[in-house]
Amino acid sequence: MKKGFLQIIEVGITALVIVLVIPGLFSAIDVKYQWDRPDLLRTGISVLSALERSGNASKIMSEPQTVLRSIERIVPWNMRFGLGIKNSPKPYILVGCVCSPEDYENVRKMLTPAFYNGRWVNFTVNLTDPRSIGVHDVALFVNYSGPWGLAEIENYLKSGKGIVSVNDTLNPSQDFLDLFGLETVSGSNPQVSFRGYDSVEKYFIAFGFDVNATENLGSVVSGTWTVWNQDHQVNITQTGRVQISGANPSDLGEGDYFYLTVRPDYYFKVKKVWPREVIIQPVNLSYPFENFLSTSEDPVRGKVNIVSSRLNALVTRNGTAIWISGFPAGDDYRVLLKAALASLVTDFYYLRPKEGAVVVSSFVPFCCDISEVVELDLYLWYAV
Amino acid sequence: MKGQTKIEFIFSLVFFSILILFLTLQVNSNISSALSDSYFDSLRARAWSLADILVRTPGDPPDWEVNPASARYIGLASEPFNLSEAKLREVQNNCDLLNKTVRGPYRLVVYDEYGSLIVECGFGGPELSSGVTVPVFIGDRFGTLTLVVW
Repeated sequence: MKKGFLQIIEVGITALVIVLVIPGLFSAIDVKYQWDRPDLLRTGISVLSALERSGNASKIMSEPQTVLRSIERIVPWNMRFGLGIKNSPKPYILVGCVCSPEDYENVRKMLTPAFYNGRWVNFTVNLTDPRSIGVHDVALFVNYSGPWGLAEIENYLKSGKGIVSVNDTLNPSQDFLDLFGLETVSGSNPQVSFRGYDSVEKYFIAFGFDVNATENLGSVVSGTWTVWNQDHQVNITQTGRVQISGANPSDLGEGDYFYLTVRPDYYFKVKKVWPREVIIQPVNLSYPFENFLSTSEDPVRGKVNIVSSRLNALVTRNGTAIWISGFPAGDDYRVLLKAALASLVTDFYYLRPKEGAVVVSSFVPFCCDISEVVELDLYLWYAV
Repeated sequence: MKGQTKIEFIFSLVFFSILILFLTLQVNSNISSALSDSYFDSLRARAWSLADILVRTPGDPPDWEVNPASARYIGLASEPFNLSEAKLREVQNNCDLLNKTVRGPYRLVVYDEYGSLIVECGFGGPELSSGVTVPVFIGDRFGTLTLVVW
């Protein structure tokens, strides 16, 4: 082949390479800024700020529908939104009860609505089995003896949900001990109270004891409040005064403090009075329980002891698995159960977001039964 | 041979010319697109920045609506993201006030949540414009402020 012709082919190949490479090089140099996420973020900040200014952000736990409607009205038409809450119990908690029909009825009676910081927490209880707990916000096992090593329970916990078990530790299986992080100990002590300040204690204090007065006694309606294994008659007068037997003072108005003569070192407060219901709030930290460890029970301690004595524990936490020793009838034990369940359902969505959505958070303080800072997460994404 | 060399030279020249033409077109098209993108980015940044001033600040002086002529720059907020109805009224009555904050062409509209037009200043812009919509609170209701700049 001639030398000149070869050179022409070389030039051709070089030109071809340049034609192919240059557009690629130019396309790699992209100066355009991607505005999608900054636009969503700034819009999210504006929405949350406008909500705060309107005063609607503080209604997020008591009137979530009002807040959702407000957001719907101001989010630009080409965006969609989701709304999540962290650090506060879900207003409607769906409890899956793995229990006998008798226990189920008892649990339903125990889980009355809780009122605190101007909002309600309601419990709906379903009778279920260990393999069907997945759909519930929290699973409650009452006197369940196992098996505890089921994949369904493991997956439920892995998904971030929580379980509460109420049962005596009678020859506990290793699976049970492992799941709740328990170890058996040799002795027990009758002085039992909250240790540290766990979220269970926080909601125990926040919820308080709700006493229904259903019996008409002339000018008052009457109910029974059972604490420290003792019944106290609670009368509500037509003028909204509350009379409590064994209390000092015994005639009280909303907001008044008192103690029970059996334990003068512990104070309560009449938190709220309705015509047929009163809520009594425990005031001091470290509420002292009457020991509810049964004599036949094997004493245990957990990784985190929520209610315990110096030697053994009666309520423990291992991650999102809470164990409560079987307890007798009593409002303090009942509220303890409500608080344990609520403490496990504090992260939830009012509107579930799309995956990859931009999230903007706002922190809304609530008072005054307990101090609570609720994280409000607004998720935004484009409609198309 | 002499003639063969000439043909090679012509081929090379043609190839070279095509290459130069191609490169020129590529550079032109990409630089123009980069400039347009960059211009759009600067418009969007400007729109956000001006919208921020309008919805987050009261202006200077903060009560400029009492004496609009004294305003050094215009903000519409009584507090961040809460627009003052009095300031909105003044701007609606005299859109020129906004020139103290927004330099260059713009269009500003404020609607309340019921779809009532509260402020409308400026006219529609050219194709290459950038707008932002900011959710706000206005007195006792929600609303949106949309600012388009070009």
